[in-house]
Amino acid sequence: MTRSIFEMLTVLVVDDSLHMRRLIARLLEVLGVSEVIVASDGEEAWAKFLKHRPDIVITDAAMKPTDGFVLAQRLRAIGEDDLRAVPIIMVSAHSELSAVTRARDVGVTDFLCKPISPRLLYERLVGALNRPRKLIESPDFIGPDRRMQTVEPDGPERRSQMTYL
Amino acid sequence: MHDAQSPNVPAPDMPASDTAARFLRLPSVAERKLGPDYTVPVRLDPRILDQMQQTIRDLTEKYAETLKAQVGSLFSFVELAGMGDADARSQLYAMAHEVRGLAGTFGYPIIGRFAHSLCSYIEGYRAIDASVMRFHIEAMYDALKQGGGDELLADETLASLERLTAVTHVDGERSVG
Repeated sequence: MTRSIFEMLTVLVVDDSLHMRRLIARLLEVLGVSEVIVASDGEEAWAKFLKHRPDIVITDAAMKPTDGFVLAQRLRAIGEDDLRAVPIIMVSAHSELSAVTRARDVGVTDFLCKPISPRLLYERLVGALNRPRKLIESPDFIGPDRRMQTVEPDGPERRSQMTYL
Repeated sequence: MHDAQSPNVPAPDMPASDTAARFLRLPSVAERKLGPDYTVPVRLDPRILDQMQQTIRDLTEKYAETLKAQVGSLFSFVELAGMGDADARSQLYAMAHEVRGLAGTFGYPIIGRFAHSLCSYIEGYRAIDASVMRFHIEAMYDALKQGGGDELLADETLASLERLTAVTHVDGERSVG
């Protein structure tokens, strides 16, 4: 059997709940992830990220003193392209639209609502592993394209060029 | 590396303005690790799924002890939080928030729903009422005693809690939304 991609991965798991950290870490180990690094808040995660250079970050949203939103912003602002483009999966019990929008606006790649299930965790991981890491950098935003999809107009184009822009 | 296919990237002979967006396109993690033709299978191997579910079951016993302790601790913050103590409110919220995030995963979805309702209540009102919080926690406690609770009963209890909240906050003053 060929070597699984999970055996080549280093994943950073950030959560202030010991149970959630342990759970996600164990589930990743079952998948075969070779190295799981854990941190209990954004500050510790930042230090461990720079040291271990993980392939994926799975982070909780609400943590003290540094939460997952601040962590995501800091990661997206790193000077080195390969590090800055790291896929970030945010895991949160806040399932409301405002939380998802906020996560998107700080450059989070994907969002997973708690309670988590093995299947959903796997789906998010696969998405993060398979998608090309495309970032948009503008003066007020660094992160994945915030448009989820590009929908072409169905039928003849009736908008003026000015409107289209 | 610039995305050569992007129409918004300035041509090489054009100066980029300060406000121009830069497009960065790096290969996927899968591609970087195992080559350009590799994609991770979307379907999770059922044997691995079984192992993952077993892992959760293995951790559940330990979590159940914590959950019991947490629900018990919630009671201790109620009075102070109801009197406006910010620290008690914050600790109560943090604990309920953790329960709402974890209980469902470990097989206590009803307790997670009560915790969610309690969190929403605390998020929603500037002045929070001790009796509303106590009823929430008692509902969690009862569900825990019943080994997780009953879905129908939970629906009715949540509806009652909503009515209680409406009666308690007749002025409708909310801190959010």
